[in-house]
Amino acid sequence: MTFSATEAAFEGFRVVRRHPLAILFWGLAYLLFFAAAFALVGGPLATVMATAKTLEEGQPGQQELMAFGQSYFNLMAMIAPPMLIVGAILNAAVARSVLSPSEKAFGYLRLGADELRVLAVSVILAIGFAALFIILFTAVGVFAGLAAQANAGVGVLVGILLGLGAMAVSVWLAIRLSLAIPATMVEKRIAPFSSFGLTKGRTLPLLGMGIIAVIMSLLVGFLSYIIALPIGLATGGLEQLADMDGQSTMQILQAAAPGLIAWGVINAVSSALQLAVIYAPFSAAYRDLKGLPHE
Amino acid sequence: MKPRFSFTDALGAPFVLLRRRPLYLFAWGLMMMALIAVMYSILIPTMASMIAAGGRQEAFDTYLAESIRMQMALNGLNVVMYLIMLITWTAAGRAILTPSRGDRFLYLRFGMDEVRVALAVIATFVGWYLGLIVLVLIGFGIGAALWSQGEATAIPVLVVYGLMVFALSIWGWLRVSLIAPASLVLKRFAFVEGWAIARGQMWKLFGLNVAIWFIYMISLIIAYAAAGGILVGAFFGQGLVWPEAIESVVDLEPLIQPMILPALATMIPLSFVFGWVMCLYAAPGVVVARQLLDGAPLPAANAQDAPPVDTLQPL
Repeated sequence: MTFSATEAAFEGFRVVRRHPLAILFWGLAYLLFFAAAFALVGGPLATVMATAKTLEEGQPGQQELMAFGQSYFNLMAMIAPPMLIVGAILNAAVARSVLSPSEKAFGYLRLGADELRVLAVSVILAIGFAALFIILFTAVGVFAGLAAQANAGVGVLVGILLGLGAMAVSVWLAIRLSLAIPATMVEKRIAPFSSFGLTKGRTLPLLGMGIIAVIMSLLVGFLSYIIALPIGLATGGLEQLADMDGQSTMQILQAAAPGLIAWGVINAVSSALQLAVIYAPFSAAYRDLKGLPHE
Repeated sequence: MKPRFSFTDALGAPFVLLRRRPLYLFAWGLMMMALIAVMYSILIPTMASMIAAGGRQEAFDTYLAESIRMQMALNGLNVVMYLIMLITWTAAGRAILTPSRGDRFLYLRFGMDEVRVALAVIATFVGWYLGLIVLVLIGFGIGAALWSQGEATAIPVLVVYGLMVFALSIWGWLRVSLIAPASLVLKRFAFVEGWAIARGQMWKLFGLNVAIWFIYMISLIIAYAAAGGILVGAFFGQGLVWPEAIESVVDLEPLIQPMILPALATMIPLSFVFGWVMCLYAAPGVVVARQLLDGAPLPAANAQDAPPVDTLQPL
């Protein structure tokens, strides 16, 4: 059992080097998702872009902000369910590429029991963390409020200290449960909390690994941005949707297909790379902490 | 025995590079100057079209139309600028680690060294910055709690707290400042080693950084003076006169043509100074990390192979 946080942090790049085709498959999955999402919400997306452009150009009032919030909420409500499913499939694929590298058919993409379990774990953890946030920050508000009754300034101090404490607890718990997806994949059962024991005493190395993975993912994003910039400038990119508010998906496609396709391809590849960089380290950490063989 | 580093070696490291690799410094700086030239080539036409626009409203409309496109391009170029800073920083660090050996790629690479240094710098900066935000928030809370006791109590406490946070932020930054150089030296992430070797070296590191800052400021003043001197000399030397009123870009045209060559000439001192600044940022830290990791000073450069071919030869 030899776990090195800095070694594990680079697992995403190793996955890409071992199986570059996997990135192609994952990029294709993203592209299909983008296309399906656009077919579903092309019109509302143009509305959101147009509202955002209006907000950027002037001093937005409460009504404009509410309109933006409403159109954004509608958009998210429509694409959240397919996003969760695609996320689970891709998350499982990344974990499989690290834990069972020999199962490389279809770029590790499957649609089976593993994916359903990963989806279940993702939903359970999302709901659990939302509940934890609500409980923790309600408690912070209550204690700060009680302190403020005695002295308003002390209330602020208590609020800040407890708020920082609540954030620290949230981060600590997120790290302790951060190996839930690989644990679920290996144990072949819905295991959202089984990594809690495994990560005991490894919080700081895992935090460091996570920070490095996030920064690497941001760097990949920056590099993609540089590559995408001239293409976006030449084809109009996604921003041109702001001028197409009220048009149907077909009308938008007829007017802006090259820009949208270019945006979709670049973002699909970039998202696939970022996915590998950010998720693979956690599977590598699980594999190393459990002492599983490197296939 | 506690490992030590030589203050003189560390501060002298950029000068070693300046003496032995001046053309490398110039080339590193020229990369940045080329990028800045590209940035200006995007900015100037936009500004010119604004000046050329008939009225205030037309100028504003032109600005709105161009600004988003320009902003996107400049954002992308900013990322390129950080990349250039990164690869010239590691090039300077690599050059000081092998002072007696040249490199046909001017020590410029884009590999795992660069990835590790970028990650180490960003991670330490993020950690340091988050720590600072937490301390400032706590200070705000303390201030709010004490304010009801009266300003006479609150203000002195907050001043003392502010000074403590300031000192702590400097201490924190110095403590993490050797992580990136140690990562370059060891060719792996050196968060633990970089943190550990800085222990007990705070005052020396502080003094080193203050000295570097002074040298940096003096270098900038000299470079800007040289560039300004070239521009002012060319302007008056050619008998040019600044137009009394600038109504449109046409009014500036008599100045543009004769000033192109002098403007290009300013790239010489400015390129040198940028390459030099990257040496100032990189070389001392790398030397300190190397000596503290080794527990011994760097071996002196082999005198027999000096001066290298890219320096001025003795007459």
